[in-house]
Amino acid sequence: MAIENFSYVVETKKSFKDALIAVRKQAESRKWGVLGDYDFSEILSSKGFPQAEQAKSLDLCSPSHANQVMAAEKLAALCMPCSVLVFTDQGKTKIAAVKPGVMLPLLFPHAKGKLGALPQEIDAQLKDILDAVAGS
Amino acid sequence: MNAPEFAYAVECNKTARQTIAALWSASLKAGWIVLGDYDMGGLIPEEEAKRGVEVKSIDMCKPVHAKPFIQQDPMTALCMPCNVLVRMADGKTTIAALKPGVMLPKLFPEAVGALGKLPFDIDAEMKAIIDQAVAAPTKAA
Repeated sequence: MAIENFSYVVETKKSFKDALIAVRKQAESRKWGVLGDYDFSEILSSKGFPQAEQAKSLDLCSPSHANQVMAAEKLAALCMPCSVLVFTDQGKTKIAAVKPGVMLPLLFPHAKGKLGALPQEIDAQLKDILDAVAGS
Repeated sequence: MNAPEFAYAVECNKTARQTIAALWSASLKAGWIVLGDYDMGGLIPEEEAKRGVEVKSIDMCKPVHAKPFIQQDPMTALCMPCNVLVRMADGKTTIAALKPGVMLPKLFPEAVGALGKLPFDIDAEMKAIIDQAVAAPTKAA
């Protein structure tokens, strides 16, 4: 059975590089940390698979949220940090993120009570970051 | 940690640090690359930190596997790289990983459907890497 609506995607008029910079700025202004990044186009190209498009993920984390989620379900760390993907698609720059508010209750239904509305709150904050990048 | 349907979890007779080193070594031997690792110790509840619980994760990738997914749908990169979690608590170390063969067809049914059994091959390779790390002799720190 397919999992519907598990991600949020926005399109921006920014260049790929400017979108990456904007994600960092918007995340940090909301007290989310950027733990690292992976440039998939570079990684694949370096191994002999040149890419026509660009794709880079930024690993974002809000420690206070992560602490509560890990307290509710140890395996939830498998879904951390939150990954925000910036990629190009036929001349357009897009930004995407998985919605923890969809995935966490689905993967860890027994932790729903402990998590309360937190996963949806994390969704809202990630959406806010992506919308700000698209709109700024 | 009991493994749900979508994850693989095994116990390991090593410290968290030794386990990360063993996973790193097993990945490279299997032709995977290790992109990095995270110490998640700062994110665990205070009570667990006081008990000496350690949580680390290691990000690994096999570009030849990643390429067809990204070609089918760039959004599949949201699930990359493959993340393996190591948790040491109360003298026990557990290794856990999501199973791409279970998760990806549910998230990207159309794109992944075109890739045949590749997601399940990745599951098998990751399981072999984890099992190899568990079985590897412990190196002195």
